[in-house]
Amino acid sequence: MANKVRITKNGHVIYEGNILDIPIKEDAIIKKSIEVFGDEDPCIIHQSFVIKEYTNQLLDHLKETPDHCLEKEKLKEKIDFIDFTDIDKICIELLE
Amino acid sequence: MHYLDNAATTYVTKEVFDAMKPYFTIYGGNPSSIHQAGIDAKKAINTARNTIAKLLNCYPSELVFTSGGTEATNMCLKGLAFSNHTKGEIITTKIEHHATLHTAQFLEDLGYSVYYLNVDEEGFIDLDELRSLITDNTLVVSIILANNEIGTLQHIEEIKKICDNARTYLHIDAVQAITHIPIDITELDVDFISISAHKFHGPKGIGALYIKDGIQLEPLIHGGAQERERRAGTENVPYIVGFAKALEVGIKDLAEYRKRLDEYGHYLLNRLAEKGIVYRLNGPEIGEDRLPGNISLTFPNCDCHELQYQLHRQGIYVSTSSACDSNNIEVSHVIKAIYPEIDDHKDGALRISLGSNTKYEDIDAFISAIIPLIKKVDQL
Repeated sequence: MANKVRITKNGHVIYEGNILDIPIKEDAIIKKSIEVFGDEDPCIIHQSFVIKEYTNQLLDHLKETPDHCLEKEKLKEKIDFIDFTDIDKICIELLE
Repeated sequence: MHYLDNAATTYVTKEVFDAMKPYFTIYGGNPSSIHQAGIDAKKAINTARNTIAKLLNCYPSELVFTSGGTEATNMCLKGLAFSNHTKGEIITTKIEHHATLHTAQFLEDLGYSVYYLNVDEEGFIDLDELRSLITDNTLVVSIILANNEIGTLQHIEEIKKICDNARTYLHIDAVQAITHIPIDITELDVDFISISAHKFHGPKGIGALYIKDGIQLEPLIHGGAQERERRAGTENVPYIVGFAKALEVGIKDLAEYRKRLDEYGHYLLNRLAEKGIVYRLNGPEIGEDRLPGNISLTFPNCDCHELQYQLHRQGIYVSTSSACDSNNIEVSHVIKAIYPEIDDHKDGALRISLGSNTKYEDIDAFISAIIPLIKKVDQL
């Protein structure tokens, strides 16, 4: 359940912790909420569901990657829901 | 799909749907119209009402069709409050459905004093507390017969005696109980009962309030003489027909159904125990004090929302006992009420509710899916 990830940018760790707690862009939450629930003003339970959808999608990508590490611009569109600047420069690694 | 969320709602069966269909497409008249199309619709309502009354053992005139259990409870509590000019207190419990709690809070805002009874660890109300609080100023006592989250079946006979001694109305929310335990309204002898059809394979959007003969309520909805001037608005004929059919089928199978659900419940818990899974069953043990098919579980150190989500990903549908405010997801008031000594309810509770379509393979699928999720937590 509690999968941990490490996110680095330019060699510096900018996040390490539970995948469920990575910051998600608010507009991405709204977009997904509309897609899943048809709701542009989701309640906290629906927001939580949408976040799980994103983080599980990310987890699936990480598990499919041989070294469990996603890198840079080739994966940008798969991780552009993550709320970090310069998303194309980050590297995400599955720790557990 | 493994649907284990029958306490949330059930699917309309083919039998019920077939009974409803002609009232969408063939008998579509307004029941208030005095021509054959209207007469056919009116007759369908009266036949359904008679069927329901017979099955529950009450007079047809004592049933008012509503949009469901929530409206029925609102109709009872607000209707009583609006027609009452002498009594100022209401007693309910800490583990009611929000239909009751939010209505009670609304009435509190209007000036009523509302008392919320404590419950023990299994969810049973404190009868001595009820005795101590009830007075001749108590307008109504409102109690959930079968708790929707933890399955506690309250001892209504004892509560009824206490209410009778105080000459207080007794409303019971029987939404989860109907077709799960025997309900004989005349024998229960309570004043009001809320019912909802979608909990027993009827359609969503239809229910009823039983109002004991002779009790006057102020209607919530004005604008017509339907339902003996107690609930205005053109009747939902197909849904009323479906309600009656679903109840007929449900009550016919009740004894076998109850036995089967208890067997499934034991099977589920035994499978978890066999696999060495640590859990806490919230509410009474499976048996005569627990709603058949209701299994509320807490798994230590496992977030119930994450469990539910991962089960959902595997096509296994269960519920969590949660409520949301604008910023937080909180464990339900029911879980908090049965364990007041626990400060941190971070694990929450998972509700697995079995139903008429549940098979052993559904439970096996649940077990197979949840074990790795829990073991993964154990390994961390």
